[in-house]
Amino acid sequence: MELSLLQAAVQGFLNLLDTSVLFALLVGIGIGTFVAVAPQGIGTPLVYALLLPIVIRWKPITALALLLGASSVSAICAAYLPVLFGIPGGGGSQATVLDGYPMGKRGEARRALGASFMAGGMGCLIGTLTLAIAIPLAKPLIYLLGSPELFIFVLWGLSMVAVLAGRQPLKGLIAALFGLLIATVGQQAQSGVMRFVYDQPYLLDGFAISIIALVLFGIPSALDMALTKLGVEQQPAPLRGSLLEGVKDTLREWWLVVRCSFLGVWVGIVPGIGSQTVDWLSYGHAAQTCKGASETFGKGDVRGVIAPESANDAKDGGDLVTTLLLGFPQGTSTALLIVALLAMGFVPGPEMVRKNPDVIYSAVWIMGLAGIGGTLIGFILANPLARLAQVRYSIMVPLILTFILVGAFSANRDPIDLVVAVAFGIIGYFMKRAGYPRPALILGLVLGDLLERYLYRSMASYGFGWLARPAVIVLLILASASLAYTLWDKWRASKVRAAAPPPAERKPAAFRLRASALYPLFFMIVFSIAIVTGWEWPFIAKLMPVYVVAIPGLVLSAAQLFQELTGDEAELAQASDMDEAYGTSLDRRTELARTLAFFGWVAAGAAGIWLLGVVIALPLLALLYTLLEGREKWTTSLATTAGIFALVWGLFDYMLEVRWPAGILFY
Amino acid sequence: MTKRSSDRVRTVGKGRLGGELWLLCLLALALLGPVDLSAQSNFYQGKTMTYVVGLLAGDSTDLWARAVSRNMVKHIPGNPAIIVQNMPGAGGLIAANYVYGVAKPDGLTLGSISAGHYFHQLAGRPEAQFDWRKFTWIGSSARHEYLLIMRADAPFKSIDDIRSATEPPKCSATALGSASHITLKLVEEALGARLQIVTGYKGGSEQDLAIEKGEVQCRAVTTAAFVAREPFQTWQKNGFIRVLLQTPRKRNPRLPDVPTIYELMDRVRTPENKRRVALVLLGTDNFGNFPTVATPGIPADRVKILRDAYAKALKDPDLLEEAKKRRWEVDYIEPQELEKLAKEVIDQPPDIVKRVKELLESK
Repeated sequence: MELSLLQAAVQGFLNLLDTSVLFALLVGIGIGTFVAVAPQGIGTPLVYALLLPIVIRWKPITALALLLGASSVSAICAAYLPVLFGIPGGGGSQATVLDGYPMGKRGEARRALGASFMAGGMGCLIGTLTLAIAIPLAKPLIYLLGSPELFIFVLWGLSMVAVLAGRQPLKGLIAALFGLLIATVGQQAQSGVMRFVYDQPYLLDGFAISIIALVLFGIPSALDMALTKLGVEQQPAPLRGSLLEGVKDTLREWWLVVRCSFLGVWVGIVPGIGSQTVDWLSYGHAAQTCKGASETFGKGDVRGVIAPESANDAKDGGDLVTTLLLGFPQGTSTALLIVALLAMGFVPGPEMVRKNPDVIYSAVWIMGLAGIGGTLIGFILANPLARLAQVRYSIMVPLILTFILVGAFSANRDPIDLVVAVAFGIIGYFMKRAGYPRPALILGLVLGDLLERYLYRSMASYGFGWLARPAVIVLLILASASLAYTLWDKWRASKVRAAAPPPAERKPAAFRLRASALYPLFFMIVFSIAIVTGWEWPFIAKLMPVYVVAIPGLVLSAAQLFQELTGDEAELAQASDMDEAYGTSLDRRTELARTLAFFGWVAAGAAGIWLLGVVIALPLLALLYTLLEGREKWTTSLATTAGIFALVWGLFDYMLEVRWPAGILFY
Repeated sequence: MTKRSSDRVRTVGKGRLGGELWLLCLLALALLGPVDLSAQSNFYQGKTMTYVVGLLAGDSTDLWARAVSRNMVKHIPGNPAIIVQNMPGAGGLIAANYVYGVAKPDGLTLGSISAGHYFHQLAGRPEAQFDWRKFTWIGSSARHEYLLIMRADAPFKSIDDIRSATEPPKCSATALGSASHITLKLVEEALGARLQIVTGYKGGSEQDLAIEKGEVQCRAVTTAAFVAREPFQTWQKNGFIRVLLQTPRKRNPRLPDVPTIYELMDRVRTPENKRRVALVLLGTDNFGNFPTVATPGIPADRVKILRDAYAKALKDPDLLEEAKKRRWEVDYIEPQELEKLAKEVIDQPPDIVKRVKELLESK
């Protein structure tokens, strides 16, 4: 039966008018909300895997309603964790933490959440509309871009470091190069060389981006609470702003929403870029194009929330374009969606477009309805949940540490995950203190692998001929123009700044030993080790880590070291604006004692998981932390412990049957 | 979850709900945990087995492993419980190391490991902390069959065309040492056909696009995907691609016109040493899709129980129904055959091992 597109669209809607379908959609929305607030490790892929055996016995549309409802709502509602806890949300919602958390700390959690859900809902609708009209357009859109074009695109993304680097470009570049270096750890696909593996099986796959992003931002956020003893010594900022304000912000920034949504759709459509990049690319795009961004981004600018959230939710529509119209899965969840569709007798791809266009349109309608439903649910839950920002540190810190450690450990379920988490948590702390922008590191880490793959593939398939492809030239011009504009804008802003106060009288450069000189020294050592380790490798394996990263990194760190040793006090004190330093007013000794105590708790939690297993260690951590550190009442302490036990055992082990490995003491 | 715990935190903070209740629940659970008195007569009764999967939860092969483990315990006397534990690190290598050397040899730990891991042992990699031959082989399913597909507009209508070409065709692959890469190296080594292998693609989708766009002309793909999935169905219908060879011993009934690599090796008279290398490389296909293994040194009676349970699980109507819905190929491979194969692929003269290692580490 061949349907016209309009008929198919109508039929697709009529398919939904069935109580079981609508009920499944509601259940899906509920599951999605739940996934959004659960710790990392419970993501859409796991939910799909658990639901699949159940839904393949159902009617196809009912099953689709459940699966698509769950996945799109989990994306829309993903801003809770970044805004309230200061830890990056699940895949595609990580960059939201950059501006969402400062807003939450300022008491504007409701406004941030309102903006994020509105942006998410709008993004989801734009993505869905794209899917609806993409049926005739999907193919040419994808085929426009080969490896060479993708390489330029990634390079463009990387140039956003220029914005993220803030006022101290040297530190930004060093952080980005450090991120690129971490991205090269593991066995290289192109040459098979084990880079920086040092015979450790754990390092064969490289570091999990999810762990590094989680702790790089999450640990300093939790430390922030522990340092200020939020809710005890320092009152949390009173709740200001409303959901409506966030909605208004989003509507005012509609053009940003549209731009970022199309960026998201595009990342979704092109296979291989992956969901982990979408939020960072759109955040970078916003930082590059929004007026005054270099002054306000990273300090709680609502546009820094709107951009990643709209892109992340629009991406789902893009994913489905490729999955349903071409039959190419885009990641684990869409691969499982294809499995489900095959089981129901549909073959996603051209055959499905020909034979069952109404089912594709049903998917469109489901996505649209789920988008609206998810936004509403987000609004309903936002008001009560926003109060979490007011809960005192003694309860919040163990809760946040549970989310962080569970999230890190679920990457590989290997005790080394915990070592990596603690190590990068410490690195994140020092980077924040010393004004090395962490977003630049993440951008390097996320894009490093893609950069290398696309360049290699371009060279292998076309030689240098790829540089002459028209799409490459156009993209290259666009990328250079936007970089030039950014640099010019920054240069102008810095002139304005310099002109306003009279330039501080410059003391003649005097050589002085400062503790801050240790940071560039650390990076010099890291880059030197990389050069020494990588020197023996063949050219393909060496190009990126040694020539592109480590050697320039060593030079830049040396320059930074020189600046630290001879520079002007006032200039050095100027914190990087994209990643604010700690603004505590504690005396040094108290600060040091609290920082050490905090990292002691983090390390104890990690060691506890290794020795006792998640199920015992994390409730125990909560019990001890609330009693000893927080001096809470027994009842409060036990309630927190029980809540965390319910989370790690009840949710993972009992409900989802995802068992945690036992601690080493129980082997 | 956050909502629930936050509500609780707030109410308790005001002292309305007693914490004692929670303490009691915790105590009750702690007491329930270690009760385990029933294991006297039958070893597996009341026990909990662990099934280690070298993949992330939710991966499509993880679903297969979970289905197998669910159906296996039904056929183990005493009906033990079984929990699936995912250890996806290092492409499943960590799971293999765990089952081999960390788990106790008591027959309570099983694992689902990637067949390609024996190359790590052959290559003498320190990361492989096992002797492939000494695993307790429980069973496997669905031999992998690979095809070499080529764009129809490329000037290579058969393997002979590639053998005589001056400029080799460009074939895509994911990473060095991946199954698709091994298949391409196999074609080069066994048939003397030169290919330009472009690695660095992230998965099947990216490679299919690269073929459609003409970035590359050929790639290796599993027969199972080829007959069931897009874009292959459309490609076949439009005559966009040709299938140049298949890797199983006998021609797949669905591809009766495609020569097998064994036929081609006979035709081009592959020398004996290259043929041996080819057999080692083809071993991965014959180990099937994520074979099930156990720790070495398990008491023989328990090995028999596990092997029987695996064989029965693969005939279980529940599993077969699920497999049909999800288009899994169920094709039981006996443990004795796996054991023999494991010895065959590892016990090779040094020059063969050296050559295999070279092939896996070169482009």
